[in-house]
Formats: sequence, C-alpha cells, structure tokens
Amino acid sequence: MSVHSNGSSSRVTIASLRRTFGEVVALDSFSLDIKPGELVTLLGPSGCGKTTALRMVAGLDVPDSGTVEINGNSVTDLPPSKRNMGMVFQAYSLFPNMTALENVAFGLRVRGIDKASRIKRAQEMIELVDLGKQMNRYPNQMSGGQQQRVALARALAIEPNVLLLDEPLSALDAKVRTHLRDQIRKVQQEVGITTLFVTHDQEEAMAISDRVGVMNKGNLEQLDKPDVLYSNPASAFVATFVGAMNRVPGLIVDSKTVDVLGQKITISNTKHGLSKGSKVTVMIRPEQFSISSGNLATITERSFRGPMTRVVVELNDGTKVDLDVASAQSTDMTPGKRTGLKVSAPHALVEAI
Amino acid sequence: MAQLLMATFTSAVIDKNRKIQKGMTLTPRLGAGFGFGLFVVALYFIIPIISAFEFSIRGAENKYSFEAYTRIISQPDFKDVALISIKLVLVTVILSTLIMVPTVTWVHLKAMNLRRLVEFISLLPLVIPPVVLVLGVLSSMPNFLKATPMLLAFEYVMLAMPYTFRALDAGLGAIDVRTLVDASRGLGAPWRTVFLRIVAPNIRSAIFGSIFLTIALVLGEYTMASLLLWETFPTWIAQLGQSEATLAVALSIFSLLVAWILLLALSAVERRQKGRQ
Repeated sequence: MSVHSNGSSSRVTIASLRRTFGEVVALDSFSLDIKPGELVTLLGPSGCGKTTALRMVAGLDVPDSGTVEINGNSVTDLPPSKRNMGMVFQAYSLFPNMTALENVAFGLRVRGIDKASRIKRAQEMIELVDLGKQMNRYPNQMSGGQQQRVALARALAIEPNVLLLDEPLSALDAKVRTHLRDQIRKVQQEVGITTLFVTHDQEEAMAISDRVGVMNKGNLEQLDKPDVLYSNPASAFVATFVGAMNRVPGLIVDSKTVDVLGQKITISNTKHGLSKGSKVTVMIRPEQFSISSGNLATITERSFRGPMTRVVVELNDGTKVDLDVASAQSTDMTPGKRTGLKVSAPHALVEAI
Repeated sequence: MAQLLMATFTSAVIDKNRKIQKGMTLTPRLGAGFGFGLFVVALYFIIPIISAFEFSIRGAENKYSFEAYTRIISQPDFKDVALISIKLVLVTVILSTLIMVPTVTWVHLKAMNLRRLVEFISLLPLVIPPVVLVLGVLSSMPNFLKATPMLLAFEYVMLAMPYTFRALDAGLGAIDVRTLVDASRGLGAPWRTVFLRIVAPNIRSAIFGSIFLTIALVLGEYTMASLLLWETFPTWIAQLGQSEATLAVALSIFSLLVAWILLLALSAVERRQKGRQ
C-alpha cells in the first residue's frame, strides 16, 4: 500500500510575516524554516498569533507583508485551492453530507482523478488511520476522535506539500487526545510529510514535535527541540510557559553567577546587564530543588501525584517554592516542618526585579 | 388565504432548520399547557378554512355539491391566470434563490458584522408601503420588463426577503460554514464546487424552507399585482368574488390546496434526499 506523499520532501520557508487586525498586531515579523519531513509545533497562549501564522501558510488569511515559500517557490499570492496543502481544523470539519469515504475522496475528485483511483486511494488513507470499518458512515455517526482521524486521512489523501494541523485535538477528551496525538505522529513519520502543528497544549507539543516554536504576542520567542526548550529556555516567558517554574530571589555575584539561597548557580542569559549585588528573580524548575537539612523554609503543602509528590515550601521572605520529590522519599515531609533547600540546577535564567 | 399559509410556515420552517441541523428532536417534552395552546392556535387557523370549504360546497337549498370546483376549470381565464401564477412562482423562486443564497452565505463567511444590517434591509419590504415598492421597481426596470407580468417577480423577490433571509440565516447559523468552506478550499475546490457541493447541500433544509415561503407568498400576493394591473390568481379570485362569492371561495380553497401540494412535493423531495444519507 502506497501512502507516501509527493510533498514528503517539501521545505517550508516563512519570512517576515506580518498581520495586523486594526490596531492589534497578530503577527510581527514572523519567520520560520521547516525542514523536509519535519514536524514543527507552534506553541503559545490564546491570541499569540500561532493560528494566524498557520492560516497564512494555508492561504486562508493574507499577510500585510512577508512571504511563504515551498521548496523555494513563493506561494504567498496563491489562493488556498492552488497551494496543495492538507489541513485539519480545530472544529470538526468533515462535510456532513458525505460519508467518511466521500470526504476523503473529495480532494481527489476536485482534482479530476477518476473514480476507481480516487476510491482506492481514499480507502488506503482510511485504512491508514484505522477506520476501515467506518468508511461508509456519515460524520454524525462517528465520534469526535474518529471524525478527526477521517479529517487527517482527507488531508493526506491529496498528497499535500505540507500538512497543517490547527489544534486538531482540542475538542477531544483526554484519553482520545493522547491516542490520536500518537497516531498523528506515527502517520506523519510513516508518510514523511513536512508538518506544521499548532497547539496551546505544551504536553502535546513536547510529545510529538521535532522542534517546538514558542510564540508570544505575535513573535516567535524560541524555536528548539523539546528537551532544549525545557532545559534551556531563552526567555522568562518561555521558561514559565513551558513546564512548571519557580521564581525565587537571588543576588548577582558576577556576570556569570547568581547566588540563590546561599548557593552559586551559573546564569544562562549572560547578557542581562546587571551589576554585582543586584537583586534578581531566578527561575528554577521544581525538580531542580531538593530537601536538605537546614532552616531556610517551612513546608506548607504536600500533594501525592503517583511516583512524584509535589511539596510546597515557604521561604523566610514569604516566597513559595514548588518541589517535585520522589514519593518514596517524601513520607516525613509534613506541613509545618522546617527544612533546608538544595539547588541542583546547572544553570538558570535571571530577571531584574 | 395564502397569508395564513405564510404565517404557519414562517416560524415552522425557521424552527425546523435550527432543530434539524443541530440534530435535536422535533418533539420537545413540553407540558399539557403548551399542547392546549397549540390546539387553540390550530383551531384559529383551521376553523376559517373549514368554514370557507363548507361555504364553497353549499349549493342551492343548503345541499352540498362540488359544482363550484368543477366550474373552476371551465372558467375561460383560468388557464391563462394559472399559467401566469405558475411562471411567477418559478421566476421568483429562481431569482430569490440565486440572489439570497449567495448573499446570506457571503455575509456568514466574510461579513458577520454586517449581518444585522442585512437583516434590517431584508425587513424593509414589511415597512415600506407597497405603492412605494411598486413605483421603485417600475422606475428602475428596463422597458421590456415593464410590459410583462414577470415584473412582479422582482417585486416578489423583495417581498419574500424577510422570510428567505431568516430561513437561510437560521440554516447557515446551524453549521460551521466557515470551517467547511476553509476545508474545501484547502482541498483544492474552486468556489463553484464549494458552493454547489458543500454549502448548498448542508443548508438544503433552509433553502427548501426559503422556497416554501416564497411559493406561499407568490400564490397569495394581491396588492402589488393589483397596483400594477396584472391579473394573477389572487387578483382574479378577488375579481370573481365580486360577482360569484361561492366560486371565489372555492378558488381560494383550490389555491390553498395547490400551495399545499407544491409544499408537500418539495418536502417529499427533501426527505428523499435526506433519506439517502
């Protein structure tokens, strides 16, 4: 069964896209280069411009300036019907008047492909998303997860240059979401298609992406591999948006070192421009703290979360700090108990107070 | 008589669109009070029709006969008048559908902020006096149209706007038309295909509703046809009523039946298409 896309080796180059809606700047000089066969996710809060960027790549929205190129050819001025891109939407987008099979074959039909070929191709794509037994059902006879899988098959059936996924999982319940997320990644790798995925769910982004771009107020703050994004965030926004993050007080020792709770930590954003002795906020993840003997803080809360337990302590200046401790080692960490804190972060971001 | 039909259908069609499209039941669990209210309203509409029918078949010495109905077809003008009305129905339905379906779809797709304005404009025929509408259309039409009764079709398109807009607006409001259009455009469909294969089939109930209402309006409209001195079914009935009351009432009942048969036929077509799904 041949399911490979013609566009499996397409490279997408987005350069300086800008889009404003009245006074609001939805996208400000947005640039992104997606390598052939790569899955890049745009992650960010609502209104950060990620869907606007995706719609401009699809041709469903027109930029004020900037270009979109596929394999070096500009598609900026092409209508969506001429771009050959497959898209899965956040809302259920199957055509209610057609069966799953007819939905998947629709794109092939408008391309003038003969009936036998398009039915064969549509059947292959439906089998690819494991819905072979549901191919003659109408959308209202399928669950939300099944509808989105058909939408994925429909998007891939036309052998698009690029696959665009606009929060396709957000309307689904948690279990279906995880399953479909993994299925999307499996199919994407199997077909080898260049993919741009948009989501506000960091777990989703981290789980399936080759690279993740974190967006904020119309700008791409950082584009990196998921593990790099987590362990080495480029800005305070990325640090706090991706994963849990503590903000604790510190003092600048020199341009490369900060003192946190009496311990020296390397500063990751060395171009902070702060002088020795400046008071700063230091960002440290919950798993980079551990409990030690001492009298730096008071345990205020303890909540069991399976293998890990979240412990909240209050520093002497009132700052609350979250720690993730292995549950087996947390039995004696009862609220009210005085404790010390050890920081094991290899480096940390600092921010002027 | 057709005004009764309009009143019954307007709310029913719009309501039906909303409920069917959203997959809701058409038989909500409402109390006995509602049922009684519905019964009273039904009597309000049915009693005049039954009374009219009874009057139309009441012959000499209070004996019942269908003589008035058999005389309808033998009337010398019947064929011409019926033909004009049927042509008007066809032209009005085609014009109204071609103008209103793309317009309301465009509003839903591209200019939702203009929806209230368009709705307001669609309601204007209800508040502008018919004589103003008649003169407005008359002065803006080319001469060859002024000389044919088909001019009335343009008037009727306007008159039907309050009903057609609301029926189509409800239908489009019940589907995520923007996403469906984006999805089909993204799959490479040109606008014509998007409209004919995606939008129209998914607002079929609304389009049928709009057609029902337009037919009912055309078969019952008297004022404009009378002002423009064209003889249509309603003006002919009114004219006959001045000399032959029984025949005029029989014609009213006949015209109501024709409207019902047309609507039932359309409804059957719609159901058959739905059944295929």
